[in-house]
Amino acid sequence: MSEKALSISPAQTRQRERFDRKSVAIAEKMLRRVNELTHRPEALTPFLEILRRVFVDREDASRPHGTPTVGTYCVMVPPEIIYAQGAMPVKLCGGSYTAFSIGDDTAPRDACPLVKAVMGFEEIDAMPVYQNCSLMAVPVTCDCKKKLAGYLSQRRPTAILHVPANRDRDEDMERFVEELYAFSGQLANITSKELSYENLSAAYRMMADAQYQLSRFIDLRRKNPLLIRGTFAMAVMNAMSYTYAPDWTKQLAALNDELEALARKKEMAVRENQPRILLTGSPVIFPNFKLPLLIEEMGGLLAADETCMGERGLYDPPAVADHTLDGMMRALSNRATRPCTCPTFADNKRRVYRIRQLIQDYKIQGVVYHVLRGCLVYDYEYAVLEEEMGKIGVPIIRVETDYNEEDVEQLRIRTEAFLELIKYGGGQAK
Amino acid sequence: MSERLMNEAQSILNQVASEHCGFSESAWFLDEMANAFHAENLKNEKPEIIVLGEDFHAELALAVCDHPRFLLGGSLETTHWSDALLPRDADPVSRSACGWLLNEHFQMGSDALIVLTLTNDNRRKLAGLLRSHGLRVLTVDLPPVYHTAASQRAWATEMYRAAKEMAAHCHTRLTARRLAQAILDVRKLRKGMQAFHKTVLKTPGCMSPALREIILESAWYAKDRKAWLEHLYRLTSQIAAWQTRYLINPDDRPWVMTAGSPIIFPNEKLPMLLEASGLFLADRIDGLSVQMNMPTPALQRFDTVQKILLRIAEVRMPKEVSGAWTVNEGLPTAVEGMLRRIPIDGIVYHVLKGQIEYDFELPRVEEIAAEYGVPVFRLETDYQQQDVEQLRIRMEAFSEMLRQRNSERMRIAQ
Amino acid sequence: MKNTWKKRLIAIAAALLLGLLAYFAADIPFYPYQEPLERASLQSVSDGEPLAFTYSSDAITLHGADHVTVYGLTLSGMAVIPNGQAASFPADSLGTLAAVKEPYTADTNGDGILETVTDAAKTDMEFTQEYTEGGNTFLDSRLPFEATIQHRSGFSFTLYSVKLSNAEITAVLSDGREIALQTDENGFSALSLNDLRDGVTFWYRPDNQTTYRLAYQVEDNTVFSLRWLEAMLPFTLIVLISLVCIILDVLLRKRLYQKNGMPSGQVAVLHREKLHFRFRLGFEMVRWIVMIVSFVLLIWGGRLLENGLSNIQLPVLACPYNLDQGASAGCYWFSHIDALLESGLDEILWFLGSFAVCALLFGRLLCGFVCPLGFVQDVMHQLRQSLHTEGVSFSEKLYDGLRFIKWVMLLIFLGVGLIGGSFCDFCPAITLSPALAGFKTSIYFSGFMMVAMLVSGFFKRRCFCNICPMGYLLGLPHKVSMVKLKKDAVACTECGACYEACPMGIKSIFTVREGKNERAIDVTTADCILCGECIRRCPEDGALYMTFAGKKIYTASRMKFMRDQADGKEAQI
Repeated sequence: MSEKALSISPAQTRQRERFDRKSVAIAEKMLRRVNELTHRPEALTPFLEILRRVFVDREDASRPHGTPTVGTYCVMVPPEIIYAQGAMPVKLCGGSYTAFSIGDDTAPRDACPLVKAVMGFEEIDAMPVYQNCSLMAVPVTCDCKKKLAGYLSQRRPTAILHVPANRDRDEDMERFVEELYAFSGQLANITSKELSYENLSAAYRMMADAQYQLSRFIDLRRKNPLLIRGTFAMAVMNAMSYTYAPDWTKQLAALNDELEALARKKEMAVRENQPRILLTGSPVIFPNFKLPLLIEEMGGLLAADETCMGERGLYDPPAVADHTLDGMMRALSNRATRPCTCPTFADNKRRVYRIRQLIQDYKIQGVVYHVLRGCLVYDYEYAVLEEEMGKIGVPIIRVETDYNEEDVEQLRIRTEAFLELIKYGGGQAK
Repeated sequence: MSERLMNEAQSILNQVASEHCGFSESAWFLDEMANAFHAENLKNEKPEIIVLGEDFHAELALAVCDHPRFLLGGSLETTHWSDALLPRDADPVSRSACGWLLNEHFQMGSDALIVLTLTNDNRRKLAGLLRSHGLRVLTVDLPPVYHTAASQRAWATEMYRAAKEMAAHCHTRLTARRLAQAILDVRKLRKGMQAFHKTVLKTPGCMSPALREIILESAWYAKDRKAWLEHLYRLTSQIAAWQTRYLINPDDRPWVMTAGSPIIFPNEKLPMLLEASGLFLADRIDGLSVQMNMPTPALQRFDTVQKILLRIAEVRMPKEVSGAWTVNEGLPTAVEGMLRRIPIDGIVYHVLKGQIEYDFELPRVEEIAAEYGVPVFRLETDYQQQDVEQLRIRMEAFSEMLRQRNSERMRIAQ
Repeated sequence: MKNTWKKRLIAIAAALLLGLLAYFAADIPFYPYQEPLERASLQSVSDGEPLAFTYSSDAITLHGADHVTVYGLTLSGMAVIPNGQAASFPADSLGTLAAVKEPYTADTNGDGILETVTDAAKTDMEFTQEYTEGGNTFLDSRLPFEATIQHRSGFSFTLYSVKLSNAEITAVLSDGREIALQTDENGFSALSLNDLRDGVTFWYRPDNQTTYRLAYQVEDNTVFSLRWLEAMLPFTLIVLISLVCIILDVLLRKRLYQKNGMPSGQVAVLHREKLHFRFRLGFEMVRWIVMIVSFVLLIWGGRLLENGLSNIQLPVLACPYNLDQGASAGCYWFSHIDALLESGLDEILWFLGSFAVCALLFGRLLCGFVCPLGFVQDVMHQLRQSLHTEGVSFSEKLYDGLRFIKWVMLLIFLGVGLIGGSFCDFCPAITLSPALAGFKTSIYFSGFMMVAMLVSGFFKRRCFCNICPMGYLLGLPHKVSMVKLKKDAVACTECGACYEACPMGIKSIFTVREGKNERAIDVTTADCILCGECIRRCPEDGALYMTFAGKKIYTASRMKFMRDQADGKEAQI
């Protein structure tokens, strides 16, 4: 079968070229639209640069020389362990329409576009940030991720983490600690570096710096909800997936400084009367920035988001109660399971509380519930959230979409109507 | 309203009631099934344990509780009842299960401990949903891989923990002896079912596959399993006697097997469709049917419950055909095994709308079928009757194709 | 079901074992000292010094012993000690000695008039000074002028067995100061305990021709002397045994981890790490300061503040066997209820009153801030954190087990005194406080309890507090106490950090979501020692906070949390 590996048929070459052209075009278009939004802070440039490098120039994620990369597929994989053992995590949940259309052939029709995009990346062999990963770490959360784990494990070295669906008992959380230890063992095979107290606490410090800057960012936005557009925040968080953590921290620190200066001068990004929207549901992954761009181009402000590629990607800190190696592993497992609002957990009431707190903090006037076509778990939770929003009087719409651009016009009309409803219909949060 | 559920079941039963060559015993089984769906019975039925789905180890449920209620979720009527609670893409099995438990007509779950394995998204969210409606739910979180020793231990531990809770709820004791007894009982049941199946397969025309499958499925609803087994043996001997007595015309219908999503009473759409299109449904490989062929572990004298469970994990996990695993080898292996044993002409791959895990397995099944030169037909449907006509047309075309292939083969052989 | 029976049997066996150990605690010696009467000795020397008793460790010396008769107080009254020498004292001796010189004439006050001087010396051995009782009196004409110590700081005076009231007495302290005192019907208590330690001489001149002199010396427990080292011996033994146990355990666990192929933690004895100690006056720092101050005061308070025992009794395990305490400990009366009921209404009211005030005002804040055993456990925990040694994290099941033991301990605490045992021989506090203050206290089973407490406190934070009966009693009125722990259920993300950090394993902090006011749910439980660890680890603004009389005194803050983590390792204190 070596012939198969070496020779690429003309059809495949053409497919490859088509992929290159289209994906670059889409990525560039999205970046242009992001740049065209008003009140773009200067310090946003490095983040957009990273997205450009990965999606337009198709380079690998930049990192210290000789550091292998580990592809992660959910927030439950702790970056601390990966950094501690000398590798770098890259979040590879796919947002590319072109990859999605390639993966469409392999994956079942009703699978979610994220998984199809990843399968597309695997087939097309054209994304270095994906191809160069030495190990894939897939937590088994939803069905599609589960099957994706199986699919990847047959093609590349893959670490499969069993995330407990129940988390109210101590044993459930502790089971994940064992999974993390097993994962650490698999990492050691790749990086030849064992986990120890020193390197794990150094990695903790690295991520703590990043989380500190993110907390500054969140704090600034909380005190001044109109300070920065949500699409920019989304770009910042998406860029984190492909950036070496200390670099990202530095860039975010610069952004925070600029925002602080703007806040002091009271220069806001939008006017007072623009509706403040919360985006929640399936993740928004570059280049699928459809919804944030729509909301903000149509005159709203994406004031906050509750998605795993957005703010939730680095929101919860691991709280170490015991300064030992095992204590730190426990804290990581705790962080990955207990506060996580992923709907793949059987009991996810904490997500409602989180959203209510966000609504209060950012004075949200409307909620856009994003469901990717095929994402069953978020769909299940919509009914509960609708009820809760009804109780507190915040309007909510369910937007089901996938990666292709064909439904943009329809969505535009609906978004406009929703924003007008809020502006003139008095969508006041109690 | 629960009469409509009863009527739905009854109408299917009536349809199949006469589709056999005069075996009087079959009426007993149809009555058993009817009772399980009878409106009055449902109002009064308050089981201690309700097991959702077929992938919770049945022997374990039988070891801790004498009459666990198995809720397999095959009824269209019940899916209507839960429409408001579940999203559009939820699969009909979960819709039906939800409807069984959350409706205004009968409260089956009020005293019960509901056991379900978290093998797919629907189950997970269903657990949360049922809990938020005040039902007691026990979830079993199975590991997503089955071939490592660690995962088998995890499976055994989870099952043990679940069984202990169930035993506490039923005020019984979980002992190795009871578990061993349950395993032996179920083994007897399986033997009987296998004998029945083999006998019927000898003369395809003697009983419609739908009736055959309903009879086999009635084991899950039987109140007295010993009596059920007796009746099954009687029926089997009736059929055997009939076979020796009468000269049977050769049946030249192509033999098909179904694989993928389970066929659950009263959703006998698929068997009836196949019958109407001139195909003979020889066997099926899905979560429900594979329980019939599960191997039992070797039992030794002084085993503890945990040891027995570990052995069960070793033999059972690789054979599971549900979508619970990251890589599902069970389904393709079972398909291959069946292709070798029985002369199958075609595979109808049954996918219920929303059961996406079977769609992921399809390429592998197609690969294996291609090795044996067997065509695969993907049939996606749900419980509604609206697409029956369309499907019939497609199925008849498939049937034609198989017939032609068969005659080609015959001609070449000659 | 078999498991439940097994569990029940184990529970009953554990309870029985603890009960038996508590009851027979006095028969399980860890480090018993010789009886004070056996180890004391008396020697009289004629060295020309003024007549006085002095102590050197357990040896008593009578100075200026010419023409002196030495008496000892026994159960049958005043008895002569022949030659003023005794190698040890008989069992019926009450531990009080007196020496009387033959009267002579002299002019002691320099007024030109010769007086008849009756020169005497008296001493009380340490064990005679009970917790609340007064000293012993001879009341014999052979010792005409007598001073009797009361409450370790006051004296009553008798002349020929008649109580002196409204008399002028001069007290001369060891440094030469002269203090003129006026007695009332109870004597006087103007001297401080420290004045007595080095000896005081009383002069009574009823008229200008009669002088009585009495040199009084109490057996002192000087800190940082040879005697102090002797008193510290059992505690030192305990610490050494605990260290050995801990090191063995750590090595064993390392071996076990390596066998299972898991990365073992680092016992960083040789590991050099920059100590990131940032002094910031936050809640945690205040708590450490208060703990250290109360540790010092509860052990050496009497010596430092020159006060006797006050009537206020703190319900913490600060052992009453330490007579130098700053404030008394109420644990004695709890464990000896029969003695309490016999000791008079005054005592009972003071006891109940101080307990009520402490419980209602502070509740288990005393456990987290004041109790010296708590301080010791926190020190052990901090030691483990600094060494980064792996500990043991308790699961819900183990906490349930501890809860059961707490009930057993409570029963033992309140009940063993009533059936003839004494909790003091079982309680670990007796090994710490008296020894540090210099009191030689015989240690029975308590020594083993203290070893267990130190070792378990090393591996699990505040392990003993989970079973402390005193703490449980303090926690009972938590619903009406002034200190409360509250939670904002909407801000809480259910991250479980509070549960992981809680030394008492209280899970309800993070699981409770319902309450009258969602934003301020009271989550104080009877177990909560109000140490504030949960608030410290909470990363959400205002999700957890502590209030005192309704005012917030400590609130969770996200930026503070993040800054702590990011500033090169959060301050470990």
